[in-house]
Amino acid sequence: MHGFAVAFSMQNTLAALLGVVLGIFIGAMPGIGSAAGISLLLPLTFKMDPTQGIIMLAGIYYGDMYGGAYSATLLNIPGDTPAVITALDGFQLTKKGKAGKSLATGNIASFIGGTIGILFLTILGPLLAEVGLKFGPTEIAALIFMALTSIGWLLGDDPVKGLVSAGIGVMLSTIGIDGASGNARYTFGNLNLIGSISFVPLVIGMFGFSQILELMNEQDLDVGKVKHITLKESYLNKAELKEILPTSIRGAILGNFVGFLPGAGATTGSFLSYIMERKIGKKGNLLGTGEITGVAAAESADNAAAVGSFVPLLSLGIPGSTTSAVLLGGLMMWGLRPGPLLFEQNPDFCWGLIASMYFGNIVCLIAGMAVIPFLMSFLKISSKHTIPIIMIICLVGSYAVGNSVFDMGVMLVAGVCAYYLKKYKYPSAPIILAFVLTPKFEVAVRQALGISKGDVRVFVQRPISLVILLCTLLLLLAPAISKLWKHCMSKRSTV
Amino acid sequence: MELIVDVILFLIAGYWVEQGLSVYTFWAKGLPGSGFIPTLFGLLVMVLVCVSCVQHKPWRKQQVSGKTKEEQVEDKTGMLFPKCPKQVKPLIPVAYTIIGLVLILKLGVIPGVVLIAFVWLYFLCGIPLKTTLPITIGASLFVYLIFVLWLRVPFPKGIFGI
Repeated sequence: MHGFAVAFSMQNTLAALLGVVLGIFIGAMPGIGSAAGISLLLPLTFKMDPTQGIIMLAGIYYGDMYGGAYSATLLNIPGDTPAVITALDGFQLTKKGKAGKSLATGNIASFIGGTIGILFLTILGPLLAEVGLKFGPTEIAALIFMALTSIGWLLGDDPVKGLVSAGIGVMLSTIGIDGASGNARYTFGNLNLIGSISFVPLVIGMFGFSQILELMNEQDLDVGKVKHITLKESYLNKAELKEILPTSIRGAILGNFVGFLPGAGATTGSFLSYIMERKIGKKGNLLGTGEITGVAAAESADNAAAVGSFVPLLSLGIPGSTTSAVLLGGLMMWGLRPGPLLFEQNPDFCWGLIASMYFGNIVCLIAGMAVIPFLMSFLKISSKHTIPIIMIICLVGSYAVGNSVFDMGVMLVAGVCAYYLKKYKYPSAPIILAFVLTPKFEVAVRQALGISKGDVRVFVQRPISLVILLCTLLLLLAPAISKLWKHCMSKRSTV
Repeated sequence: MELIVDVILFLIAGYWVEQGLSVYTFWAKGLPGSGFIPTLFGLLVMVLVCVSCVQHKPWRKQQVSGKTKEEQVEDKTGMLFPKCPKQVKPLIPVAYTIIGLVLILKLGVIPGVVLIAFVWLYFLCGIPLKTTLPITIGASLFVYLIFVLWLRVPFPKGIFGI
């Protein structure tokens, strides 16, 4: 209760409000991820006291999670990595004229995910951190392996081509300096590639620029656009709310769990939630064609993971993601030492931060719902008019990340390649997801094999890793087993 | 064309495997080397591309469209650049974006953005001035306020210094 008193002081309330609004805005902007956004805004907090500063930064972080879905849904250009999953169904809903419902679903699912995440943080924070410590490199490698193997056959019409796309993503991620050995790999003598291919230009090119190329051959550029969109059609009805509620709760629990695993990140949580919804959801087989449950699964896990990453950060001083690593820098700047004693030595700070998250979550929901009518007005603009705008965003956004013309070239090449790959049924989403997950996977595999002195049996000797690998096998074999079962049952019924 | 894409993917994956084994070391001193992940996944891509080829047989001739001449003419209604061949059309925005990139580098980001938006909308798409101007001004303002003023992205200044 004291935490709420701290959080609801005038200054801290304003800090949370400002952080949330800035976060939503940054999240919606393609080209600026949450880590970059927090880094850019960190100097604004120098003159604030630690509690106020971290409240504002936390607001930016989960506001960013809300905002990432907007450009993903409306432009098919994900604002950050987890929004890649949101775009799969979000943009399809926009094409069907249901952008408002997609945005509303994203907001509500984010709210549910954030709330459940904050509840877990409040009640079980230090305990969850202890569980997280049991996940070593072997377990993280197994978890990411499960995500990598599922990417290909879950996304896209053809499982084989989906896996090829995932393989392409893995290969692309190996370009640059190998962290373990310091070798420069696949750089072709180009200095710009030593730092590896930047994620933002790659995703802007593959999702945003390739879309322009697809529009060139469309028969009617306003096909699918709903000319008269009412406010009522932009929000969810009772049945739709009922539909997304169990999905959001499941996604939130899974996302929160993944979020507090050091190194797993919101993308992994978002994706695993999507896989789960695909397997057990009522409309799982329709995911990817424009289902609100697809958006709900991704967004609830995304926000829950964002909150979950605070668990190892506050309790153990271990950042759960790149963004929380930046937050850790902020904490240390203010002389705070995250760890088991933080809650004892700085209770005002910790509980004030947690209380402000409740407040910020509600503000995000209200702000998110309030801007939907404004965002919907953009959809009435003909695609002919938006082509140069998307082109400009692609160019400027890809330059903004590394201030490099090379990144603009990467965006261009990625866009052209994605267009031709998509033309021949090689989906783009697995490329991006594999690109993001592979560095973590490679590090975890090498650490695990280093610990076991090269013995690959370590992945089956550790119980948690074994369980995850068995689940992976089950996921892979489930369609075949299900087919066989149905075949046997139908034979029995005919006999 | 699909076969060409498959062959290119196969060759690229093969290069990754070759480099992974010969240059970056697959396994050394009981531990995975730099070439471990690239080799494994390069091999996987090669195998899967072959499987995909066998499944889809892209070397088979594509069926000729059964549409009549009238239907083919109707197909182009509402399209951008209707007189341009279908295969060439996607290259138009690519070429235009490269020109736009050069404009941004040489003239500066704001003049570049203004030209990109205005030329495309007014000259290439034939959209009236009363629609073209607000969109051009809006896009330029957006880039200026967010990227130049707020984020202070150091764009190339160009000859106009903006």
